[in-house]
Amino acid sequence: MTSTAPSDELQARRELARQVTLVELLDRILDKGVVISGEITLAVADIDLVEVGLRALIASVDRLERLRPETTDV
Amino acid sequence: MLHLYAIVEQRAQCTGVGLDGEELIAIDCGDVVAVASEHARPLDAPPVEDALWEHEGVLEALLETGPVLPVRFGVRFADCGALRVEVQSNCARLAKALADVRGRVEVSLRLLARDDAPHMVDELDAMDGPGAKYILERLGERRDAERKLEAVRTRLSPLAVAERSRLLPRPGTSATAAFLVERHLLERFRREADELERELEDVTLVCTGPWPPYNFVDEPVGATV
Amino acid sequence: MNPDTRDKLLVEWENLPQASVGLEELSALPRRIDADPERVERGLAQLVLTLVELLRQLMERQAVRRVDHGHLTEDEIERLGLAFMKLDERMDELKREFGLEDADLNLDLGPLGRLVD
Repeated sequence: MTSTAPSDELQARRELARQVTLVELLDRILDKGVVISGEITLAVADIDLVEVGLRALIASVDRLERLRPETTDV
Repeated sequence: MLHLYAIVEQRAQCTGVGLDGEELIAIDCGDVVAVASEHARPLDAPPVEDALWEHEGVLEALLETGPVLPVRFGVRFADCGALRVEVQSNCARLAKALADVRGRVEVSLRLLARDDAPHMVDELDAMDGPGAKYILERLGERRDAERKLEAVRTRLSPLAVAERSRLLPRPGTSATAAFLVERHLLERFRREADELERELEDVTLVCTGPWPPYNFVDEPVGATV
Repeated sequence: MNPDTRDKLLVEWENLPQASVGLEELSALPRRIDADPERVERGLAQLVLTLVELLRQLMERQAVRRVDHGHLTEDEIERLGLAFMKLDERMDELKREFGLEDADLNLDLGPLGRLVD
């Protein structure tokens, strides 16, 4: 009969493996701009204006950053 | 409403079901094919984890049958007409992108910092104001991350077609790197990464894959309803 | 769906990462801003502070890069550092005021989210 300690560690490893894989999935599969356009719905008037404003802000900062890319190619 | 999964080369690749058990539909767009599913009701927002894995599952099944340009979760169109207009206008670029990833998959490396030791930089000797300390500590952290990333790239880039990396994406993560790897080299890549993980003392390597080539194609399609 | 899709780990790591990595925080799905009309103020604060936090991180990274390239004088480095320290402290205060955790500010606002993360 196995002791509980190794199997606890196995559980912990599995859970960690699941979490890191999810992190990697989220990093790839979510275009966060898409999420924001749908998801931020405050219960106030003129929220569309806020959404539009946010996207414009994000796009302009993104354009700025593209001048100094940090990514590299082999 | 159409939920878009990917751009592929052939209609025949498109079989099975997607989100909510809806049939996958192949939509011809010039030289490429869009893979989507049709939904009567709006999908959950924000998406639940299961939906994301279902979307990813469609991509990975497609990946078994040919090159795939993965579309991120949440790209939707009112109807086939709207989708076709968007995709067809990009079709030359998309066809080329498909050719570029044929036979290749993405492997992810995440470098997790192993310790919390403060990072030293030479410049710190000369400057001891609190502001300088704050910035230079961060500089030390950055240089440390660069060094670790370089060790990984030196070892693994020779086995890859291309590589993208990002330093210090968040606290605790020194760097993330994505490698585009020929399928037939995947096992060799994995073994090399395994060896490297054992060798590196100050960083934990988290290697996952194979993924569809998210990081090696420009956003294939970006429109939303 | 491929049953193995969720298990994509290619390499077993020898040592479990430290708890400080905070993977639960990383893997949290995007949050809906509090839409309850009575808590609109908190929802707005969450939105604004997230943006500020992202911009702060972006600027701090730029500053560190410039220090790295040797483009700043000692005096500039000290002043920049103090400014970022103060901003950091102020952000902590604001978060406390509105009852927000770091995880609440992890909104991932489009391409900017990708830049910082």
